[in-house]
Amino acid sequence: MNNDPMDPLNAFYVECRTAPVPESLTTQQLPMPWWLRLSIPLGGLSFGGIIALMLIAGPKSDSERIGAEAAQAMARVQFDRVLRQSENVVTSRPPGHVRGEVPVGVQQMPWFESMEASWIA
Amino acid sequence: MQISLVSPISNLAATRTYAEIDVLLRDARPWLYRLALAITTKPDMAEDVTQDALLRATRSRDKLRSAAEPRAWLRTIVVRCALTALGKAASLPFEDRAVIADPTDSVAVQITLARLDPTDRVLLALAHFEELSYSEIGELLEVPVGTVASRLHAAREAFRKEWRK
Repeated sequence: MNNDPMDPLNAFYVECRTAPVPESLTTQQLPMPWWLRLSIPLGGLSFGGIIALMLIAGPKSDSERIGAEAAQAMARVQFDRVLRQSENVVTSRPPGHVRGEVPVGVQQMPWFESMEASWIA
Repeated sequence: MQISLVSPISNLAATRTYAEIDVLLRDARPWLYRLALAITTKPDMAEDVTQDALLRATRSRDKLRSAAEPRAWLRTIVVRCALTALGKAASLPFEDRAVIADPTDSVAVQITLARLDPTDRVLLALAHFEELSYSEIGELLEVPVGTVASRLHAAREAFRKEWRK
């Protein structure tokens, strides 16, 4: 260890500046499919799981297998994100909120507005 | 459309579109995560803090639309989320990591920071990782500049003291 503790401390912060960012955060750049969007306010992770299984199941050719693997990887990452978002939504449910209603915070999200518009349409 | 958070963002028009805010939040993720990591020192906790901060930012996007300094605005959110997470972690049983054989400086720093008060960790990260001025830190934490100076000095001394243990 160095004599001055501030040296390793600053070195640690330099490491932080280049730390790899978790995939589940960076992949939020990907557009979220409608079925995954639907699964968040409804808490329907099981619904999303069925879709993921459908994505994984039954590839025959190499191209299908590669495509399925890519979809599987994407689904896995997105599920991780959805799980986190759902947990956050649940834990931050305002007082008096009734289970089954879409929380106000979710209603204010950009994707919810577009989804709601598609419902109305 | 790419919106950089480095400097031009501060000069954007006062009102941003929701699409611009989405891009802004997307581009801010790596920075927010690394700031959270600098404060919490734990990747898992940093990820949770970042996710929480992004969710809160999304909910408050109307404020973000007109924020003059979106970077400072986001920084405040992630710092508050980190403080909350560290406060919760403090109530958990202490993780004894002193048994790690031959720790690297990086691990030793993490162990030492873990022994500090959450506010001290935030101060050190803001001063050394974010390289903010005392006035910027004071503005963020809503304390006078003199208080920042004295508390930061105390935080550094606390780190030195723990480091030598």
